[in-house]
Amino acid sequence: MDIEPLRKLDATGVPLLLARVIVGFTFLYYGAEKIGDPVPFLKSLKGYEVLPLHPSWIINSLAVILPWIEVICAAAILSGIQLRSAALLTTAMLAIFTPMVLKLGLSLVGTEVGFDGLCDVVADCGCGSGKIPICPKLATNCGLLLLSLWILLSRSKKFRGGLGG
Amino acid sequence: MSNPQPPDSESPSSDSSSSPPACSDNSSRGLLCGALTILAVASVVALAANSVRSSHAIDLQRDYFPKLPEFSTPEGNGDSTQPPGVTGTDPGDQVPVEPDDGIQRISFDDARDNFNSAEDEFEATGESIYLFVDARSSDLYEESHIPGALWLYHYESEALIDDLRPELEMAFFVIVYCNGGDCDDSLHLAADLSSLYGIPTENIYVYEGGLNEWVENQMPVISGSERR
Repeated sequence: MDIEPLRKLDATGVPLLLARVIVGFTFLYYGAEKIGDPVPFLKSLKGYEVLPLHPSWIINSLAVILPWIEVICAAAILSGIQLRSAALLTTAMLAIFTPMVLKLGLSLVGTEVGFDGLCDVVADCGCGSGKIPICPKLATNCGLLLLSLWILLSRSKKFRGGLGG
Repeated sequence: MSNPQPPDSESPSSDSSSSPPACSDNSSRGLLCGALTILAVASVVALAANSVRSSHAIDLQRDYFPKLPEFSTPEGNGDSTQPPGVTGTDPGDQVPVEPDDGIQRISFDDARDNFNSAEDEFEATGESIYLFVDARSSDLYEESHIPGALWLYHYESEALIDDLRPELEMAFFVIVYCNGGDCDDSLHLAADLSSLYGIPTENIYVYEGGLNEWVENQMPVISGSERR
């Protein structure tokens, strides 16, 4: 597979800049929402049924710390400080949570009137935006995952520092 | 635009001939070092912020999702073990099959009957042995709640319980609700009322249909922070 066109595109720095802006502001928004009221996120973590509820400090600490990781990663991605390290973390978070959102959606199919298929399911995935349709959320997460990966793997010399440079 | 990267940053994964500064993300080792630094900083900031915030703080040690210890209810026991409002002679007609978690549930019909009794009693005497408790957040409570319901947000119950304890202890039927559906805060609050706050277990009931079912049945709700 010829990746030369991709390299040329990457060298312009424009995809990196776009990826940084989109991923950075998205994580900033979702992280700030959760920090404002961490309880819905705590409930969502429980709803995923992958974390032990006891001892309770594990799930409680994650509900407190994960939103701050999102915000600090967002700040790093937007500022260019520790850019690739932050992108590594956002990629990891998206790679972990996206299958969990899918599992949550699949588990809710058929549980309520109207939840006939995955794309009919509306649920709170703990993403900071309340109850939302699962399919668009999965598509958004997949897009963010690709953009995070682009930031992580980009070799562009342009737009690696502050957004102005 | 200026490029702040050093000349050897064309390939972020290649190490430069001189040793890179600590946690420079130009090498895989630096990448991990930077990620660990972000995790450490986030953890410290998060825990510090959580410890000083006045509202919406999470108590790291608290079990927010408790379950009551199982207890056995002898079959055919007297009225004291029946849900409030259940007076029929054939319990199979009215008492739903409950999960075996020791938490008593009531149906919409029972909740409606209890509400009507509570309103009648309140009008006549200014108090009632039936007490509805809203386990949802203050925003949702102020949006709409069952008239007369106490606000006792499950996740802030430790801070709220002292002021509400006298009324909770006086009621014979404490009926806890949240939104219904997949909301289980009412169940967790019911468990806490019994195990943490000493409200007699036999007095606590959960209306699982919650406010959604209540509204669907055209029952009255009020908005604002006032109970009535």
